[in-house]
Amino acid sequence: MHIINIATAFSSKPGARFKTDGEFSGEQFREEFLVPLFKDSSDNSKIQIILDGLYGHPTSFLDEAFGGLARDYGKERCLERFEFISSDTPLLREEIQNYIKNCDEKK
Amino acid sequence: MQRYIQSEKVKKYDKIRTRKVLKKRWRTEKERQKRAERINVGLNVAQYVRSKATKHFTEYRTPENFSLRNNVDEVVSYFSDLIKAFSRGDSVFINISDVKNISSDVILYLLSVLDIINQRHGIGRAKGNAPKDAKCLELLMESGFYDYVTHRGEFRTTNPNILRIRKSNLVMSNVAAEVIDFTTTHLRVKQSSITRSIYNTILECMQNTRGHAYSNKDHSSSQWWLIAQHDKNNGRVNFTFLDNGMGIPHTVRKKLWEKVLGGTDNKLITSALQGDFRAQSGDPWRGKGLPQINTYFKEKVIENLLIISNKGYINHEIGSIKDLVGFFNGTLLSWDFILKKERVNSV
Repeated sequence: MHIINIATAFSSKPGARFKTDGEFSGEQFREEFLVPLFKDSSDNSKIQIILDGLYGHPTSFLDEAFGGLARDYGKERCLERFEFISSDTPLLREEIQNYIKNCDEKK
Repeated sequence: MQRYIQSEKVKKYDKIRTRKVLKKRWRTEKERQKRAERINVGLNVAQYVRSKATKHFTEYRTPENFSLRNNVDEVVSYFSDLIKAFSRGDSVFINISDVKNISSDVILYLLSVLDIINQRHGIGRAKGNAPKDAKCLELLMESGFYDYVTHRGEFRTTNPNILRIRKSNLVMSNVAAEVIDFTTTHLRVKQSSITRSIYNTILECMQNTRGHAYSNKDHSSSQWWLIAQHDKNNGRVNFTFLDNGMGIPHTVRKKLWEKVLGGTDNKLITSALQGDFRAQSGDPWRGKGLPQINTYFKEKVIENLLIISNKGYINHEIGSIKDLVGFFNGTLLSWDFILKKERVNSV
């Protein structure tokens, strides 16, 4: 089991969607913390993401981090491996799961 | 003695003295002429100096109620005239002296317009004065407006109830965090799901500016502007966010009939707020910022939401949704976070 506390490991101020947009982006978080855990296709261990202690949860950040990962590594695998912990915003778990589920629906 | 008088040193001295005397005479004559001219046209010294300084400037007198929230039509039309004058190549004197009410939304819009003018037409094409009204003058000074226009790009504020104006072309999470700290400190509330919603709103506004508001991919010109103001008497913090991009109605993905017949701007904004599939990129996972802001408004996390973009005007404070006669250059979002009993919590 891997545990990633975004506030302590990355930043308490999650930012933009892409690295070129500004500091602490979803893309940066995905590349530094999530992608290394998905490179081994046989690794299906659980990843606990702690979302407490953040100033906020910007849509663009979450979508690019988790939805972006699912676009590259498959939504089923992401949904199976991630476990989201948010003690003060319980609906957030569902919201991020939706980003993963809706990641590749191009109209 | 004879030798001394005719020396080179003395000749040089005589030459300088003669030049000085002539210069003094010329100056005195000029002063006399100026005084006569001033008396002829019936001006006092201050009026005369001002009239000389603005001789080649066309004067534009601002509306007395200089507020986009409360007097949008007149103010938008004023700015349209101002922008047209700059485009014609005129130099403009912004006469703000008779203003009785000024709001932070106008301060941001004025600064952003002046910034564009400086970039496109060069510095020195605009001049202005100060309001006679003490409260208006105080707000302009304390917002850092005069510091910015005189020191070119530096904001300082002396009033702890105003978060100094910020501008950038990046998504600045540290600025959004600073706004949250400003809010929690002034309203004495703890960080909660509500303050997180405000943080998200500001981040989404910045992200929209970065992603959609400007046509070119050169982000150096895609600026956003932000100001926050604490209203101690009413226990609320007002936030105003502005960009001078192409505007929501221009950047949202339009349906075929809208492309042919042209939808009204306020309806296009309303549709984007309601979460209709409008992301310009065509990606369904994009374009969630405005619907999220609308959700926060519906849940009363933020109140008195005001959106002005191109011709679209949505003011939930007075329940007015309409298309403007004039054209607003960009997008302005303003909202209040109001202290309520259930939110009170000592920090």
